[in-house]
Amino acid sequence: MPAAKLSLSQTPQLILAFVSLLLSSAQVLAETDRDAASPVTSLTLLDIEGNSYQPFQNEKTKACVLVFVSTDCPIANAFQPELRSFHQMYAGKGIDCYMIYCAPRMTVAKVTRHINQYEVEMPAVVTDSHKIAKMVGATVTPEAVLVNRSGAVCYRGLINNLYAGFGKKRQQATKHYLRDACDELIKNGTVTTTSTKPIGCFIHFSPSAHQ
Amino acid sequence: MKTNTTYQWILLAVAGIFLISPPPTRAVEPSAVTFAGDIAKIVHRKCTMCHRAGQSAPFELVSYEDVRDRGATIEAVIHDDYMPPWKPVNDNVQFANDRRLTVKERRLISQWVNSGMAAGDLDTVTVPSFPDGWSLGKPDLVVQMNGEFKVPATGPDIYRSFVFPVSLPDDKWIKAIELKPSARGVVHHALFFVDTSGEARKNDGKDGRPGFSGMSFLSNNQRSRSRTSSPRRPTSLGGYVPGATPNRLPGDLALHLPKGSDIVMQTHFHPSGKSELESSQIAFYFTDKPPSQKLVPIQVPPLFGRFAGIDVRPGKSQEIRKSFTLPVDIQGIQISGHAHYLCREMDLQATLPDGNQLDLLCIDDWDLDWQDQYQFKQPVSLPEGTRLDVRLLYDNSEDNPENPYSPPKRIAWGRESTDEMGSITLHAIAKNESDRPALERGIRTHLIKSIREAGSSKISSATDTPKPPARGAGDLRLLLQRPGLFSRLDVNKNEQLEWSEVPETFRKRVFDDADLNHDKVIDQSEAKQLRDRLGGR
Repeated sequence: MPAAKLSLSQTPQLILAFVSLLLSSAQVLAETDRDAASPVTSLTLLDIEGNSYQPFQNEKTKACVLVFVSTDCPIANAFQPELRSFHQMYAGKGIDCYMIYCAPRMTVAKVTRHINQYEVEMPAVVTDSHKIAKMVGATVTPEAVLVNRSGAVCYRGLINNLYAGFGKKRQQATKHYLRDACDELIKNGTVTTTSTKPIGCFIHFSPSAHQ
Repeated sequence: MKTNTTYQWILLAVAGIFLISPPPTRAVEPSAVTFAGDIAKIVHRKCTMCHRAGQSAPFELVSYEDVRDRGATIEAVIHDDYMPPWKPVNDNVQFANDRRLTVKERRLISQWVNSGMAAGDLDTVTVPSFPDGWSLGKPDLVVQMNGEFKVPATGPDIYRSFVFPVSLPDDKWIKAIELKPSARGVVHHALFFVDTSGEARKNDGKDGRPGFSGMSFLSNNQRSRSRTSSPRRPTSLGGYVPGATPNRLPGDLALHLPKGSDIVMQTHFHPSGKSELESSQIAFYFTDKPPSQKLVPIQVPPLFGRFAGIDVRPGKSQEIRKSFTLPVDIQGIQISGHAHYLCREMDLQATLPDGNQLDLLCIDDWDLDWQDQYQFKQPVSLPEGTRLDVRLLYDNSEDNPENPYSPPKRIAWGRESTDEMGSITLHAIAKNESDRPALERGIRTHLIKSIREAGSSKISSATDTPKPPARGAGDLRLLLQRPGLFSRLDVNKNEQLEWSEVPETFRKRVFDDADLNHDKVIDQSEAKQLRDRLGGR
């Protein structure tokens, strides 16, 4: 990788000259990262009730969806009915779903209340949630990340187009990106639209989560 | 893999230093942006009023941690002009309580978020307090709704009126009203009325649930009015819409709350997907002295555009332009707009007799969820002969994300939130109180003229109209259910409608339906029977 050969001890002028190259290389690196086997395959997810899950341990699991949410992001909350319905429909098709809570200053009590209020049925993960977000590159709640058995991210971004922007909510969604991606993956093993730009509340990573 | 990730972070960090942050020599200056030094006062002044416990906003923005953890989101919604919510874009009049951020404030927030969100000396931060939980301080009176009304998770919109049996021993003068709904997410809007007749409380809870349905309270009062010599029509106290901030009326202006009267709150709910219980509180702020002048609403087009010909074809847009010329000198006090989902833009421009023009309200990104009443910082003087031009733009295309239908359907005027409405209301006082009757007469005449024009334009456009709009202009039967309209049409004030008093284009239909004894006169009894047959809403 040309970018990796650059030394940080070189003069600022040289670095400046390569800023655009750096950026594009970083982008390429990030893309490559996503396509390669991700650590998700060897991940152990611990839900709020203490159950642990290894996403691909079950032979029948075709893919898993990590949905990043928070307790008080209105946009993320507006998707809870769709997420419940999605889980009910796709659980039997070999798509396992996990709700990863990345809310500021979360407490178990707060998340438990949220789970009851919004009738969350999929496993709710609080432990290491920011590390998981970092690992798969999630930045927003709500954001869905679809990972196949080999650990490759096949789709990331919007659940559907219920929101066109901040405060721009449709009466109902007309494009169902996550469902379409799952249907395609189940049918063909590949996905056409691999990413959309998520709309919602940015996940706050405290400096320690950057490590 | 791990090496790649590490490099990726180093590279992004290096790029970040050069692209996002100021040059390193400036980044370490002591004047760096901090929460304590710069950000707290902006957030506390412009955000915390709603973003605090018990208010409508989804999370609190009070402490350093609150703001730090939302930093990136805050910057994004500011950049998007979504927050703070403030819809008017006209700058040639000043509004009280303008929540907009200045260019400098926006820049400071951006710099702070992108430079690591330093705390600064948090001991120097004064956290604003709202000891009474209300925006305007301790109210003079708080009334609580009787019981809880259950709004289901799904289903059609609900119109429900609730009675607050206030019944004060003395006359009061209201400077401000603040509503605290318990289920803010489902309250589309609420209108407040004074009921001096005691009719409303008789209807309260008749169906076993708090309040009573629909508009029957207004119709009942219309009937009781006809039987008594003194007018007992419910008077409006304004309303509540999400995102509105309560303001005290300026000067000595105040609204009358007669002794012994009740408050009726007519609420429009739209189910949110989650079942909710509504039990509102209303706070009143009084003054002892009656005002020297009365606030008059000038609505263009009248009746929320009932006769403005709003009828938007699927995939198309429609522009409505309506005007009203002031019959007397006035002073504008506050201004507000109302429309539903298809509306994209609305503005009211005043053209003074000398040709000068003044934008009183311009909204270029209308949003039903952020309606507000905008009070002018100083009353706006408009002389007799000033023309108020209102423009409303509707977009019924697929590109309008707020379009209630996909694919788009034809949408005309109607009461449901999936129908359309549209008007701008300028609340004003006559410059000389003695001119107020002339102003009110002018407004009444304007209403009747609008109805007549709607009738004739319907005929002239009949050839190119495939079918009349479902709830568009033309159905006068519904009009008879509206409070006060009977009497407005009743020009000679003999408490009945003669053939000549009903606009020509509506006559046949109205008299076919209502004139039971075929004497070419609709009396109160026939009007009542028609209302009853139509469901007595």
